[in-house]
Amino acid sequence: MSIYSDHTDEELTALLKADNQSAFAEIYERYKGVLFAHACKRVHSLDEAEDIIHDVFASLWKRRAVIEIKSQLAGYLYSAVRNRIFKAIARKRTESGYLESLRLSVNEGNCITDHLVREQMLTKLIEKEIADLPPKMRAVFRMSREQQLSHKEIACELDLSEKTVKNQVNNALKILRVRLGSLLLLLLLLSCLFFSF
Amino acid sequence: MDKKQLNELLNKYEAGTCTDQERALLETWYLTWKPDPAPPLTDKLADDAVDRIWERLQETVRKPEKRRFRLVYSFAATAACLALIAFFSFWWNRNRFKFPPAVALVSVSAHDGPHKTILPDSSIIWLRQGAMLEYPARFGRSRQVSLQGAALFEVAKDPEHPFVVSVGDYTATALGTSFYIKQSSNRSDMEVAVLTGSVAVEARENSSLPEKLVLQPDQKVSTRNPGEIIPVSENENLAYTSGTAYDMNFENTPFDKVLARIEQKFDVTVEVRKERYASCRFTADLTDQGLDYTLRFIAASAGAGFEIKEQTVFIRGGGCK
Repeated sequence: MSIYSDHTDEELTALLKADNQSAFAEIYERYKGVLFAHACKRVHSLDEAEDIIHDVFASLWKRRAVIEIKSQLAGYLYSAVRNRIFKAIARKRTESGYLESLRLSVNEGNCITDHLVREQMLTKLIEKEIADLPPKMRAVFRMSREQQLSHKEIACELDLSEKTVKNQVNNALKILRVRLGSLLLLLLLLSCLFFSF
Repeated sequence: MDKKQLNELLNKYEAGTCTDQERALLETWYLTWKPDPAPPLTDKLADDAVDRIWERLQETVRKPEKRRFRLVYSFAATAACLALIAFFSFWWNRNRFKFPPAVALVSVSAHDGPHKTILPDSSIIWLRQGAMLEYPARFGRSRQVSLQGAALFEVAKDPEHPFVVSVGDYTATALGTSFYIKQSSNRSDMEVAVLTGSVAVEARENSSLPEKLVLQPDQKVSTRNPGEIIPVSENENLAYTSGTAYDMNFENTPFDKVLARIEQKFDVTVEVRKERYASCRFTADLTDQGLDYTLRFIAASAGAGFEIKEQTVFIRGGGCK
């Protein structure tokens, strides 16, 4: 249990963008199980699944300043894992157990055009798999989800929308960043003046 | 779609060059894909795997990437700070950084005196024998010249640009006056005598002159008697101007004599029909006046007009009866 375990995904995302390593650790803690289990089911190799999850989180950290998490952190992570699984299976396409299934699906023209709907379906698909998770990991993930729910309840009780809570956190971060920025500038100018005389 | 096309589609997906439609097809398949059942994941296996991943992630998270960012930041801050310091010290001392424009120095020596030199500002300097004058071919903010020996200065009037003569350790500053400077032969002492206007004399560095002295006409100072202002005698004045065309005092002087003096003093040629003005006589003290003022006076007296083109003066019209 870290000090961030009762933060919502949105708060963690904002903190992550502000280079907070503990927030990154909490995100990993929350999603490692469900993502790893999902990857294992698809690629049938523990090593490969390990690589995929590592790459997804390494990229999340490296690109934390530039990534845009449009809807939900979960959706972003699930899509990232799916994309890497695509790459993995594409690379070993000759052992094509899946290729026939893919061919059928494509030829039938099965297609969900709205990418937001696809993301929601992916979220449901992956989160349904928590049932198959090892018990401890399942517990951690459920707890974090319940925590999110409790945040929603708090927002309800205070008669604030969840968005407002999120905005308040974001605003606090922004103000902090702006203040730190101008403080640095002031220090810089003061040191300049000091050294000039 | 056959296998080949599917492979192409996968390649495009990996390269990120899919159309929205192709992406939708693949991602929809992913949602309906029923993979072969995998061996069950135990708590132990999963825990070990995610711990290994986290350990590997530490390399990324703890990598000096962040510190490098800070290092870059502090480098940038230091550089910006230095640049600001440099800029402000340059700004505050900008006068010191103003290099004089590269203007050639002209050097004039008088082997036999008095030798006349007309400076770019029309000031006229009469160098005594053995004297040497150095001046820039083009004057800047102030008119700086340096003198060795003795000379009579007729400084063109220009209050905006002080005329500064350096003589050994001293300087004499004037705006538009005439004065005589004589340096001792050992170059350590000097004497300044003022004919018209006023001249400020001061020491450039350590010397016997206590402070700035301002001399009025017919006053002189010698660095041998520092601080003492000495009256100039009539004879001395004559000596200062002897052999020069400094004296432009005309008394009932005929036109052609006046023209000759003007031509001699200002190094100009006067183009004029002399017979027209043959009967003109002039009475005026034009000593220490510039060419323009002198001509204006002469022309006005004769009811004539004049024009100066480079080194030639044209006088036309009017005349005397």
